[in-house]
Amino acid sequence: MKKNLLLFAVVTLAISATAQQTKKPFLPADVYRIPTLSDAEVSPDGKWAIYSLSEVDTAKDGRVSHLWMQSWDGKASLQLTYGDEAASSPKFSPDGKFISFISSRESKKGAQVWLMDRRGGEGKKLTDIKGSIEDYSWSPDAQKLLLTIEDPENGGKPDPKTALPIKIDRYHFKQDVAGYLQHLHSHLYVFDIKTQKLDTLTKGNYDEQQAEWSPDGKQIVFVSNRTADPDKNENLDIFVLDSKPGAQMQQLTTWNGPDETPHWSPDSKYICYTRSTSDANYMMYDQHILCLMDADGKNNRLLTAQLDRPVVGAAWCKDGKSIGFLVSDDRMRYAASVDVGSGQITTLLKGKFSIGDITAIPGGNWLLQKSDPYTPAELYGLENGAARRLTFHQQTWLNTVSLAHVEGFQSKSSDGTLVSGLVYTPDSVNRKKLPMVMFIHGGPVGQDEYAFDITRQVLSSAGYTVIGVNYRGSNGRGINYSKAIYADWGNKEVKDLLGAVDEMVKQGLADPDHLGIGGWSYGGILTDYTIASDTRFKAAASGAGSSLQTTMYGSDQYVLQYESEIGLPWKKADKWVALSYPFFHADRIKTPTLFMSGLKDFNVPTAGSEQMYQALKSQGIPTELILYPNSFHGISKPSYQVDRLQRYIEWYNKYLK
Amino acid sequence: MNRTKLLIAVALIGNAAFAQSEIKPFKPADLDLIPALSNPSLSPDNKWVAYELSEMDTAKKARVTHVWMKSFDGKESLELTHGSESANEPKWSPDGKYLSFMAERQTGAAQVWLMDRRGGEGRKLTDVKGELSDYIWSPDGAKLVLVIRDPENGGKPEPKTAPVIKIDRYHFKQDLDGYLQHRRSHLYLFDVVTKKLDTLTMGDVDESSPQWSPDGKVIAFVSNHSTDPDRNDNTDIFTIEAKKGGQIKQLTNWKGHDINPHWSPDGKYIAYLRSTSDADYYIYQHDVLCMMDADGQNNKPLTLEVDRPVSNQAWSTDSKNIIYLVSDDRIRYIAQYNIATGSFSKVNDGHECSFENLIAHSEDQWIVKMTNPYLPAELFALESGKLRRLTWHQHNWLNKVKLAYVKGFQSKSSDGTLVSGILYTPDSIINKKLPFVLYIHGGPTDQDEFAFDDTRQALACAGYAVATVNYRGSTGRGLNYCKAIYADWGNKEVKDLLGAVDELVKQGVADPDHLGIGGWSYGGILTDYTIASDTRFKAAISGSGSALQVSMYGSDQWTVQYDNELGKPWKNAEKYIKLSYPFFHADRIKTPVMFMSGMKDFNVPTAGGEQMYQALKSQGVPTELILYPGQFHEFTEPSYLVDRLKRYIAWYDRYLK
Repeated sequence: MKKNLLLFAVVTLAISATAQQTKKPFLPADVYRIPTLSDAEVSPDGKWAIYSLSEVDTAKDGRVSHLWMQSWDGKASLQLTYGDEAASSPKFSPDGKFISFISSRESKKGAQVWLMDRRGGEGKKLTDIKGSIEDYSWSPDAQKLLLTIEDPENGGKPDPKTALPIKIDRYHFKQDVAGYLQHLHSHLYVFDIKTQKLDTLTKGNYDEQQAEWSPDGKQIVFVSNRTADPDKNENLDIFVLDSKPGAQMQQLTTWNGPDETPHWSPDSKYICYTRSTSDANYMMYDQHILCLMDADGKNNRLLTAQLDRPVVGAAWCKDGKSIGFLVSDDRMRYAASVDVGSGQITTLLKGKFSIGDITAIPGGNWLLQKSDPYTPAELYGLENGAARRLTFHQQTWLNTVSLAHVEGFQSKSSDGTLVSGLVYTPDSVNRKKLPMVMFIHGGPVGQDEYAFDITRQVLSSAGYTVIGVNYRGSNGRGINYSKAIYADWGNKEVKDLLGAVDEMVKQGLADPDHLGIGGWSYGGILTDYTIASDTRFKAAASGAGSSLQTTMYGSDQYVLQYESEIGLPWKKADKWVALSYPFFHADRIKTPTLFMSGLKDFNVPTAGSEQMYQALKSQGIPTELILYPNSFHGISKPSYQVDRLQRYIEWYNKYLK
Repeated sequence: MNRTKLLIAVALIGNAAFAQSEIKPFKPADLDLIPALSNPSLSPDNKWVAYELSEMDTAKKARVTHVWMKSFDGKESLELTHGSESANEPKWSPDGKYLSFMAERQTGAAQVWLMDRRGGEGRKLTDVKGELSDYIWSPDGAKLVLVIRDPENGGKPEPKTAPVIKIDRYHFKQDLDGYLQHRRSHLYLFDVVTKKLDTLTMGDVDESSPQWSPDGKVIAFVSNHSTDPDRNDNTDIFTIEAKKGGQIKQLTNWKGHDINPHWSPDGKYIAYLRSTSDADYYIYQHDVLCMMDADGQNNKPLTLEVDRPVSNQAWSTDSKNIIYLVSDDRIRYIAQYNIATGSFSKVNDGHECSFENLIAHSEDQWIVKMTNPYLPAELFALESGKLRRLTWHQHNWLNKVKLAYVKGFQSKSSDGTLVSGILYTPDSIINKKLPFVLYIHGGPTDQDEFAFDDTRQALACAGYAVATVNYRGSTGRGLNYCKAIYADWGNKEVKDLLGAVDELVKQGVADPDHLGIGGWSYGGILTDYTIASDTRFKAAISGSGSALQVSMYGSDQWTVQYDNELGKPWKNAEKYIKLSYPFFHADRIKTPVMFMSGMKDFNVPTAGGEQMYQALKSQGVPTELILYPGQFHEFTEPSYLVDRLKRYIAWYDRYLK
C-alpha cells in the first residue's frame, strides 16, 4: 500500500523559530502563499539552473507552474514564462541553444514540447503529438527528441457525445489519477526537430519509461516490464535499443524485482541504476539499491547494499568517476557519492534536513533541492561540502509568519522497539503541556523527515503539541524495520504510535486528557486501527483511510499487493477479517471521528471512509464525513487543501479544547 | 368475454408477423423504436385523456417526452407539445380551461406550464427555485400545491469549485439523489393569478404525495415525523390546512408506512395504503388497502385477507367504490371494494397481462394502462370490466418485428416448493432443445409478470429459450412466500432457480449443456449466488450485482435494511460473511461472467461488480467488466441500453452456441 501522505514538495530557508512580534501564526489560508519548486536542471555550461515553480492562482483555484532560471553565482534570478497556462519540465538543449519545456498552450491535443531560443524570443510550439507526452529528452547532438507518449484516448478520434462504455479485461484495472485502466500504453518515439518526423521505436501491449540517450548518441536505455502479464508483478527490467526505427532491443537486467532509473555514464561505458532489495513479484516493504553495470549489461554489481537504506536520485558526476545519490536515513535524507573505481561511499551533505533532488554541475559540484523544518524546498549549490542557497522563493511569506518549533524525539514501544519521531510545539522556549495531535504519515513505507510540513505546522500553530512518528513499516531504519509489519497491519504500528504518545505525556508535552489523532492514507488507516485499540483519544481525523480491508479488494489499485501479502480472500478469509478489526470491532471505538475522502480516489476509495462513518453513525458516536468532489488521493485543489486544514483544527478544537 | 377477444386480436397481430417476409426478429436496436406511455389524466368533461409519451429523438440520440391527448371515444389522437425539449405530467385544471404540464424549457429547471384549451402554445406559469417534483390543482382551480426540493447550494449560483460535501446523516447515499445532505422536499402553495408562493411545510423532513380535499380546505400528504426518519420507514399521512401557517394534523400512526392518500369525491373518506409490517424496516412486505374517515378516525385495513400487494387505488366518481390493482401470480388484476356492503369483487381478472395507472372516468368506466407479453403498455378504457383499447402507439413497430412466444410454466424446487415462471422461445413450436438463458428479476420483492419484456424478447429472438422465475422473495404469491428469504439470501432463491432450470431441461426445452444465466440488481446478486452453487452454467451476466455483502455496508443506500435484517456487522460478522459466499468461495465459480455496472449507481455500487470481476480474473476464469459512465442503477442513456443488450447476446453466443 504505497498510500503516501501527500505533502507539498516545498523547500527551505533558515528562519528563526523564535517568532518576531509582528509575525502571525501560520494559518490554513497561508497554503495559498506557498510556492512549490521542482524539475531542476543545469545548463550545459553550468552557469544556470532552470526549474519550474508552481504558485496558486486563486481565481482559477489551481496551481500554475512557470519556468524560472537562477544563475549559479547566485546573482541573477528570472522568470521565463508567464500567464495562466502552465509550463513545466524545462530542459536545455545539449548545445545550449534552446530551452525546451512542456505546455498545453494553444493545443487541443494535450501538452506539447515548446522551444525557447536562448538568443531571445518567446516560446514556440515544436511538436503536435496525439496522445499524452509522458517524458522527453534531447539527443546528444541536439537534433532529435526522444519522446515517451501514451496512446491517445479513443484511438485519437474526437470524444463522442456520449462517453463510450468502459470495457475492463485487465487484472490491474484501477489506478489513482489514471482511473480505469484499459489498454492505453506508453511507447518510445524519436522526433526529428528539423523535419518534424516522428519515428516509432517501441510498440505492443507494454509500457516503456525512463528513457535516456547514451551520451554518444548511439543507444537508448529504457525501462519496461516484459513478463507474460506485467499486471501481476513489478518486474521492470532495463533494456537498450539502437536509436533508430526498427532496432532490436536488448535486455540488460534479469532481476525478478524492479530494475529502474538507468543513467549512462558520461563516456557511455556504464549504466548506473537502482534495483529492489526483494525479488518477489510484489513487495511493499522494500528499498532500492544503487547498482552499476557495463553498457552491455555485464558485470552488474550492487554499490550501496551495505547501507541498508533506500537510495534515490542517482546522478553521474561530470567526470564520470563518481555517482551522487540521496539516502533516506532516520528522519533525514542526505547526499552521498560513491567512487566508481573503489566503491568507496562518501557523505556529501547530511543534517537535520531533507534533500529532494541532486544534479551534477561541471567541475564536481552539485545542485541540490533541500527542505528543512522551517523552510519549504529551495535550490542550493553544494561546493566543497558546503551548501550555498541559490533561490529565495519562500522568503516573502515566511517573513510574515511564526512557525512552530520542531525537534526530534525517540520513544520505546511496549515491546522495547526504539521509535523515532518529530515533535512540533507552538513555542520553542515555553514548551508546556498542551492538547496533543498525533498526525500519522502515510505509506506505510515512507518516513517523517526534518522537512517543512504544512499540516503539522498549522496544527501546532493552532495551539497543539503535534507529533509525527516513524512507526514500524516506515523506511529510514533499515529493511527489517520496514518489513516488520508484513501481513500484520495495525499491530506493531499501533504499539509504536502509542509508545510515542506515552513518551510525550511523560515528557509533559502532551495533556493525557486531551489527545487527538489523525492522518491521511495509511495514516488514516492507522488512525482507525489505533482508535479501535485504545479509547484514550478524544478526537480523530481519518483521511483517505479504510478499515474493512476486504472492501478494498478489487475496488482499489492494490490487488497485487493483497494477493502477494495477504493471500486470496477466498483462501485466507480469516486473515482478511483479522486485518479489518476496526470495522468488525467498531463497537470498541469511542473516539469522535472526522472521515474525509477525495471522490475520485482509486488509491483508497471513498468506501473506506464511508463504511467507518456509517459504523460510527450507526452507534451514535459523533462523526462526520467530508467529501471532496473531483479529487484524487492527493487533494490538489488549493481551496480544498485549506478547507481540510480548517476542518482538522475545528474538529480538534471541538473535542480537545 | 371481450377481454379474451382482445387478447386474440393482439395475438393475431403478433402472428401476422410470421407471414410477412420483411418482418425480422426483435433485436437490441429495436429498443429505440419502442414508445413509453404514462401518466394519463382525464379532462373534467370526461372527453379527453391526456398522457405523456416518450420516444427516441434520433437527432438528439435521446428520449424526449411529449404530451398527447386521446378522445375517450377512441376516434381522435393528437400530440400537444413538440420539439426537442420534454413536457410531462399533464393535468387538467378543474374548470377544464387549461391543460398544465411540467417542462424544463427556457429555464433548464422544471416549472409548471399552462396551455389554454381555447388554443395557443404553452406558457410558463411558475418560476420556482429548487427542484419541482409534483404539482396538484386545487379543486377551485385557483391554486396549485407544489412539491419542491430545496435548491442546491442554497439557491445561489454554482461556484466554480464544487462545494465540499459534508455528510452527517445516517442515511447518506441514495441512487439518483447522490449524497444526501439536508436538501428537503416541502409543500408550497402557488396562487395561479397572483403567482404568489406560500410555504406550507418546513423542517428537516420530506413531504410528498399531496392531495387536496374535495372542498379545497385541507391537503393530505405523506411524511415521516419520527425522531430520526433515516432509521425507519415510518411515514404517516397528515393533513394541513391549505393556507400559509396552516395547522398540521397527523391522521395515521402505524409504525410501518402509510402512503398514497386519496380522498373520496364526497370528501368523507381517505383511502390509503399501509405496509403489512410495523417493523422499523422490512422489505419483505406488501401494501394493504386501508380506509379511514377524513379526520383519521375509524381506519381499517381492507385487503389483509387477500395476502397480495395492493396498489394504485382510485375512487369511483360516486364515492361508492374503491378500485385497485392486486399483484397475483405473474399478473395484476383489477378489484373493487364497495363501501356500503364491504364486499369485494374482481373487475378484470388480468389474464396473462398486467395493469398500471388506473384512474376513474365515471361510475363504471375507468382508464387503465395495460401491457401483455406481446404489447408494451397502451391505454385502455375499462367499461363494466371490459377493456377497449384507446391508444395504438406500439402498432407500427410491432408490425415490423417477430416476437418470441411466451407462456407460463411451473416447477418444483428440491424442497418441494411450487415456483412460477415465464418461458420465452423463438417460436411457439419447439422441435429441438435450445441453448438456454435464465434471466432473473431484481427486487427481490417484485415479480415477473405477463408483460412486455424487451430484454427477454431480444434474448429469445437471438435463438435462446429464456426463462424468468419468481423465486421465493418475489411478490404475487403471498407474504410467507416473500419473506421466506429473510436474512437468508442466496439459499431458497437458488433452489427455486435451479428447480426451474431442471424443469425446462426435463421438458426438452433447455439444452443442459448450454445453460446461461444472468440478471440485474438482485438478479445480478442471485446470478453470483447461483454460479457459486452450481457449475452447470457456461455463461453468466451479472449486472449491478454484488457478492461480498459486507462491502456494501455504508457504501450503498441500504444500511437501514442491513442493520435491521442482518444486524450490525460488528455484532453479526459471521452472518455477513456467510451471505457473501460467492466471494469467500469464489474458487467454486467456473462460469465465464460478464459483470456490468452504471458508474453512478448508489443502489448496488460498482464495487459489487469490480470485486467479483477481480476474483474471477485472479483465477483465470474468463471475465469482463463493462462500466457505463454517468449511469445510475437503472440506465437511461438509449445507446447504453442497446449496447448492453448487444453485449448480453454476444457474451452468451460466445459460450453457449
